[in-house]
Amino acid sequence: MGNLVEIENLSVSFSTYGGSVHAVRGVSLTIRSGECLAVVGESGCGKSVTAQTLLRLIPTPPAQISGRVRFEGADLLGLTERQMNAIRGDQIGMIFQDPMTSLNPTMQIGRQITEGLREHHPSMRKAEAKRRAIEVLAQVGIPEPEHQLKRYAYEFSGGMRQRAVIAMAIICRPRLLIADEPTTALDVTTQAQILELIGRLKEETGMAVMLITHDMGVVSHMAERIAVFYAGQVVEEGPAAEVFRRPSHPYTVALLRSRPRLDLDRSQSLLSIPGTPPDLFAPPAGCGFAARCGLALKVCRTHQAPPFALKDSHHSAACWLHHPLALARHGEPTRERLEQEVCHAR
Amino acid sequence: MPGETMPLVESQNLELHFRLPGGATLKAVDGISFAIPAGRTLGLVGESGCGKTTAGRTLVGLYPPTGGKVLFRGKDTRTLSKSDRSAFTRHAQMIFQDPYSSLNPRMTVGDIVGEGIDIHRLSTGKQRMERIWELLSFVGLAKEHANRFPHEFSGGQRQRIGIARSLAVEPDFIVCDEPISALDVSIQSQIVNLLISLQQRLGLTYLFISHDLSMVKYICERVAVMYLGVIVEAAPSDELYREPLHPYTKALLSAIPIADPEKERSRRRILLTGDVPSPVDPPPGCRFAPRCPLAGKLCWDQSPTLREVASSHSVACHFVCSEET
Repeated sequence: MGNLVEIENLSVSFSTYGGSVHAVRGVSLTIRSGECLAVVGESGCGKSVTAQTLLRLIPTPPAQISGRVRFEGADLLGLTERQMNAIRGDQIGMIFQDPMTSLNPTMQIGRQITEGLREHHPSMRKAEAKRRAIEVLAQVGIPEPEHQLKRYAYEFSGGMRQRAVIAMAIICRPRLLIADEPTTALDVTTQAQILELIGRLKEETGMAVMLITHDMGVVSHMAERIAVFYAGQVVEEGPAAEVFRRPSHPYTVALLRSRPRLDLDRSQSLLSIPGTPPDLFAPPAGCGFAARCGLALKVCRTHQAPPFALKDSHHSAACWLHHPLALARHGEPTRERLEQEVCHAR
Repeated sequence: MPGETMPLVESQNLELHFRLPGGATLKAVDGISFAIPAGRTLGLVGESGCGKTTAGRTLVGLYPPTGGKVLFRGKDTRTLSKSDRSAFTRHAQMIFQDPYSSLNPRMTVGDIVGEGIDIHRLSTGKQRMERIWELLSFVGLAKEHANRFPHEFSGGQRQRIGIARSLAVEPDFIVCDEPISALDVSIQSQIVNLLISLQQRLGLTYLFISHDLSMVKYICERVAVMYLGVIVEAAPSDELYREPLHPYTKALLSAIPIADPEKERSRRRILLTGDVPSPVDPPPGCRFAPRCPLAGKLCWDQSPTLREVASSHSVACHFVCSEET
């Protein structure tokens, strides 16, 4: 499978009254066609900004963007606004976090859903657009779709609204669906329905999915590959099964162990990561996680580690502990060792 | 249970109905009963709108119950004498969900934490200040933070301030209303571990309200599951997660993704259809019947009562009871 998206050394910063915020600091990522890449991290780690850059939703100025973002070979950052409009909503669809605010309250659902179609296929007949809208509403599991076209967002429950948002995102059959925390605002039983739906649509249409989330559970349900973000950088990247089995960046380990798991009994201990993420107004010179990491070396505080490829896999971690010299001196940073030493166990 | 010591807090058939304009009634809490022994933690879980927050607020007296009663140390909280009432408002405290809106932005942290001390006249002057410093150090903040304002703190630190405020009046019982859901993952475990260590140190009793079932399992000895204003199942937490009996609990547990792709992909998920009905004039009979895969005629007609089906495991479902008896 070819690469659908290639992001190279992307940096995004925003000028504010308080100075410049370095939200994304040198991110490189690829998304292959038809795969689900999960981007995981806490709020403020740059995951949403990276996704929004893909659709060029971030106005420059006030933001400054550098690096390369290629979609099917075309450099998105170099396109004109008009060329970009042809991609937005057609080739790339997006689902936002909060279905309450991403629908227009004054516009009928049917009109909102077909807006993309009317924009990208101006020659399409009205009846045909309506037929497509009904079809896509049925596809996302909205009952009696023909009766819903004339309704408004307020008449829908949270789960139904998110389904309508998904319908809107997929109506032009995009090659890439960006789902930015699609279930965070929803209850767990609704979340299960929506995840099941996104997974099914991915299988049916063969589109790639970029799933942005902070919930490792959601990731394990959906993702084929994972990129873990911290303080505007990718700290670990690899196939989902690998990252879960052999998390190799101290932050990933801490993230996995700071949530209790439902399938383990109550004796499991919960790791607390001391401190808070760094201030991105003045990002640290070295690794963003060094100040919270029990294993930090001297070099961690002064130099950012490049991604080190791990043995026998497409898995990499940006952590000096994986440098050949560190490996020779300290040995393999196994999951057990990281768990013991990274954080203070309770 | 007979023979055991009196529970610290008890809710008996507690009801809280809101009158809506136009004459309809919103039954936020519709007859829930539970007891929390001193020093223990009860988890109250459910999806948004199920009435768990309203139940918690009613328990500490923020809403007067419209039916049933709350017993605190065996006394009905509606008919307390003036001095008992003051003791109750002091000994039952609350930690709120949103650390951004629950702290007054125009007060210093010291005054926020000290407000309860002033109201209950626990100490003044130098002693008061020392107590505030002690409380701040309890929750992992420093002395000098007392002179700052809430906007200078991160979400996790603000939640610590909220916890210090609730501890200021030496409570026995704290309702923790979604204390971690507004926080980031790496900060959540800090706050949870703090709450657990405070409980061990001060012998606190918690009602832990949350929609986060994994966290509830970790923190609570016992869990009660709410659906549309009623408790559908209550059991010791390991047992509830090992062997849920109510169809709603089963679906709820199966809906939570587990952070392990191999396990996750082999799990069988029960997908519920539809949405939670409105608590305004809820359906007669079992509240869960419209979404329940098992529902029969009896369920639509008659509301099941919460019955003990195994040792300290109660469930409100016609099917479970008929199997057992």
